[in-house]
Amino acid sequence: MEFSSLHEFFMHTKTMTYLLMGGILVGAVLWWQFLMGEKRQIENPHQTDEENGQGHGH
Amino acid sequence: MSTETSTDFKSYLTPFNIVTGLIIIAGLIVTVIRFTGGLGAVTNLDDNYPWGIWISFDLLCGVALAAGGYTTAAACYVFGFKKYQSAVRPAVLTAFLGYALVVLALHYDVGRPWRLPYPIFVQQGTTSLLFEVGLCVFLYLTVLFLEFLPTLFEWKGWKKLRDVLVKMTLVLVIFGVVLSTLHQSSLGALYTIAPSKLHPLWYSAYLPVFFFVSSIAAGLSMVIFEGTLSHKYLHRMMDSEYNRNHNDVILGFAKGCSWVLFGYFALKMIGLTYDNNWHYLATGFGVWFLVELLGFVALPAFLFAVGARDNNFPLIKWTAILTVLGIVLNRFNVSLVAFNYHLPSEDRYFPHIMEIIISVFIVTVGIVAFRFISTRMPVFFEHPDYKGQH
Repeated sequence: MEFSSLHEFFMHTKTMTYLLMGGILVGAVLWWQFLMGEKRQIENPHQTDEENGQGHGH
Repeated sequence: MSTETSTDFKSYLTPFNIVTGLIIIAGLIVTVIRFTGGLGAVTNLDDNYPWGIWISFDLLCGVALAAGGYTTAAACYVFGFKKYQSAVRPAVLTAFLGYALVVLALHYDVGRPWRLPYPIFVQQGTTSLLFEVGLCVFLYLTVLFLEFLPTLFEWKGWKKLRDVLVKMTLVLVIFGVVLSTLHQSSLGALYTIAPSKLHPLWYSAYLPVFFFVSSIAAGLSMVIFEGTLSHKYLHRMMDSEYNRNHNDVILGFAKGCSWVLFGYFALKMIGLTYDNNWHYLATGFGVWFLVELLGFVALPAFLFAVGARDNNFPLIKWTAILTVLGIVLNRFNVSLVAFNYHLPSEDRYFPHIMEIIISVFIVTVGIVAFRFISTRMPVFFEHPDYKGQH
């Protein structure tokens, strides 16, 4: 891309940066969802199903 | 009697002692050559490259990798994550040794080491970034020393002195965080003075921010990495409290590091966009830049997130190593690989073998000192006389 002046260059790159920052904000929410998502349970054989948070305490 | 003597002698000849002993002997020999023959006798430095591997590795990487001290202390005392308390002492010890060795390395690197205190005490260049770095490192090393002293006092049984310092903990931590913010970013800002020398993909007005944010990731990863090594080789020194919190520390730091690396990746993209450097990505340096950005920033961010979600501790530990390597790669790229990129290959700098020996020697001294201190003082365990007093 050709730029005739420094002002034109800054207008272009700042616009692109704002667009990118909007994308990053959406990405950050998705990242949070992914990172804090459902955890794999660690099975403890010494506890009941209910204590492990899976069963109904048979 | 003779049997006892031979047993004692044999116990010192462990593989660890032999290897570290040989490295230290080699380092001492090069030290003599350096301080009798000058910089030219042991380095490949020239006018194009007045700063070589001693600045790139010993200083830039050393300071970044010692960031575990302020990140852990800030998480525990400033942000109130008390479950990370057990990680504070090992992290502060690592940071203190890291900074002390940075200062030791500087004695090798500057032409007239006896003038090192000059900028602080004699002639302050208050407009210089290097002055700010020097002042911060000087003050922060002092803060780390004071933060570490209670461990020494507990070991020696000096209760009153220890209690005075423990009361100052929060002030010291806040002072340390402020100083770290300043000098971690200033190290990046140093390179903004060379826009024509540093490749545009690495040169950015955001360099100070890049250095600061990546230092947080380096610190968190180093705590995981160093904690893993300590668990393997110094397990006998750890009490049940430390072992109980170990997994929480690793999971929490992996989550934090994933976030920081996500933010760092986003900032690097903003830097790329703001300077409109996309067209450089199709060049050889562009491929190298992408290797650093995708392989050592985006990938570990994702792997830390997967590891933290699935409680996958081996994955988190390997990712911490990948992140540490990524930070080292970044500092090398900024200060050596992408620096003077326009020079023909015959004029490019490659470290002399004796420079590498000194760097390995300094790291080895750090490992030996860490092992010596942590096997004697209450670093991985609570001293019985001070249970619950932290």
